[in-house]
Amino acid sequence: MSEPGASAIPADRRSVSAWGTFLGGQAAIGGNLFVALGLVIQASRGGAGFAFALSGLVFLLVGLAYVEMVTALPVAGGAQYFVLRGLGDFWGFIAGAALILDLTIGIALFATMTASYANTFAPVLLGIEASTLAVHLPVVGRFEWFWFAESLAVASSLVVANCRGLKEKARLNAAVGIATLVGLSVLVVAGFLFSWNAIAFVDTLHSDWRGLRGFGYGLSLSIISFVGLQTLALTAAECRRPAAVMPRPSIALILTTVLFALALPHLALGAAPPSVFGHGEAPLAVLAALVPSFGPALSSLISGLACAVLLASANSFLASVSRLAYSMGQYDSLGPWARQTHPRFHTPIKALAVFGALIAGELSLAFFWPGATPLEVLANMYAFGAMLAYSLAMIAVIRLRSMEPHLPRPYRVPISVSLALWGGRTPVPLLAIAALMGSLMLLGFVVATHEIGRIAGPGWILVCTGYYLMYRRSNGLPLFGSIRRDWPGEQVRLLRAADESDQADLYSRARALGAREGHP
Amino acid sequence: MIPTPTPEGVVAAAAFLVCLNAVLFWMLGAPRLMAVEVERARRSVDILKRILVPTVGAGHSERGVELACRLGAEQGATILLAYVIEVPRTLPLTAPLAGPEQTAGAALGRAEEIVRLHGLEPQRHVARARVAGEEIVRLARESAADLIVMGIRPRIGLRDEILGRTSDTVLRRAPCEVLLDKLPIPFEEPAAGEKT
Repeated sequence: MSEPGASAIPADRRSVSAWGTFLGGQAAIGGNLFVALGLVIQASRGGAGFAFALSGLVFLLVGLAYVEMVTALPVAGGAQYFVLRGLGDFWGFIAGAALILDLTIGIALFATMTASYANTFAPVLLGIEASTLAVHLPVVGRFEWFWFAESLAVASSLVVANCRGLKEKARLNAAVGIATLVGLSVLVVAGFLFSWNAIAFVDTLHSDWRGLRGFGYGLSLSIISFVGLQTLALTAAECRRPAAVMPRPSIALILTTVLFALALPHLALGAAPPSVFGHGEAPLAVLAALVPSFGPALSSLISGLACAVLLASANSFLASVSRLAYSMGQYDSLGPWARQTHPRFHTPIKALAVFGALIAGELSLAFFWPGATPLEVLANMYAFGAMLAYSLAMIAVIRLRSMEPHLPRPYRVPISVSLALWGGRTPVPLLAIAALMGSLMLLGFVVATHEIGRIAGPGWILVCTGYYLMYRRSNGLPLFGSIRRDWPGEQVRLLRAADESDQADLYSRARALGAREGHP
Repeated sequence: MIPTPTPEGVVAAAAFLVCLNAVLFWMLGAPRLMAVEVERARRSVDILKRILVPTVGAGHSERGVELACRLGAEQGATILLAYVIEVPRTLPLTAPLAGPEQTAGAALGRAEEIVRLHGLEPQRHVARARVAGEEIVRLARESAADLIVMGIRPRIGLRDEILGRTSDTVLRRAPCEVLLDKLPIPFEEPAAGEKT
């Protein structure tokens, strides 16, 4: 159980600029852009562009609501904390469990993809194609042991480095962010200029359509490009004056992610037939290689860049998941192990060990799953957690507008209507409702089309719920209800810790005024 | 050899670059981050959402209304207009006082016009009291005012106190911030016997 007065307020925050926040975010979630393209093209063929457009729209709407929350509640728990405040302990835990699944699979996927991009150098470095090292095993079939070993090595190195207290370098993150922005821009511009054919693009759109099921599967896979909003919460929790700093860079990050995610499939479909992208391995290296004359050089550049960005993103996801577990431990959703630190390195050693084991298990499942490539298996499991957490977070955003009307919201999701809800007039953000509907729709597509995800996702949530109920029962805590907490007091402390003391004054004043007028 | 770009490729690449640069310029065009102290000073005015302006219908009072409106315009404040009729102890508070009631209505009408010109929401209060200052303080407390703005009479006689009885009471006992505005003497000749 948490000690009295425990809260999610970090003791020390650093000053960051808008540009620094943007580049840090680019390094944290940029890895997603290097992953999904080949898988979505393989699933949806000509419909890949529409799939990215639709999931990009949902991501944009969800992202705007996320920005409202991370600037109002700048803590590392992110969606788990928003849902905890808005919907109570139980649903907060469900959101947290969904995010843990999502982030650990994300790390496994990034590690696998890092190895996939690194393997494009294998012919030069090792003199052979890495894929030729595969062996056939009974039941499993084709087993790419070299790729598996590389992926496991990448993931375990990150976990071990974080256990020993890997220091995150803001300058390194900024450099990776700039490299991502420039590298992807060069790829898109060079691709459109020299390898894109509008007639071939239109022809693929018309003739190579996989039907609604194929489109739906591709749509649910395209979400991979748009996962990682949780890292915004981590940034907000670490920086000074998030209310002033965070909104613009966060929205810009969301917009640039959508822009790249839209440009890349449109470029790919006009540059080569969908079959060129194979089973989704190193898709951007394949795309870069299509540029005439300087394709090979650009492909090597993109592969090198991908390795750096995917490592940075995996590391950021690892930081997010351990901070999330710490937050869940503070609010009595996970046992004390989630907050136990190593006596020498001062890192959450047990949480990292648990997540390391989980990632290794996910990698093993992916590589030993018969009849599917590792990327397909991981991608199949990936989106469930994100969509469930996003849906719960959107409900929390709407609910908090009514429950905590005085919460300082430096950024508000645009377009609200006043509705009679929860016993009073509530300014309901219409875009958050649209985001909720969108994420529920995508969750529906995931359940309908992901054969592994629809078992693994709900199965994970059920197992975690069992753990939660046992933990709460053994500690005499309400099972489905919530522990009473001094949220207003915590909010004031949180804002003061974030150097937003004027916001804290505003909040206290508004609450006092609201109490006088009979509001919550 | 560098291949020749196609026209549609040029358009697509240009559209991409324009969109990307527009997003980055928008982001970098954010207002400069102010020092915490500067922002605190600005926000201390931004939080003035309910401004109480007592009026007596004279020029200096109406200028007080105008000042309050300008202070509250940016944050869309509610302007609470108050006219306090001081009833002497020789009369019951409920005694019919047609003249002062009419004067109050006219004064508040002019004040409301000023407030509406700024696109703000006025709320009018006509109250009766033995001591105007105490009533203004009570109104400020009950209406949860953030600020009281009062224009005070500009002409002060040699033997007069600088502050009148009303403004003195308000300054001493107001539960919120108080702003007094005194104009230079040539601006206005107050009506005989007028008080703040």
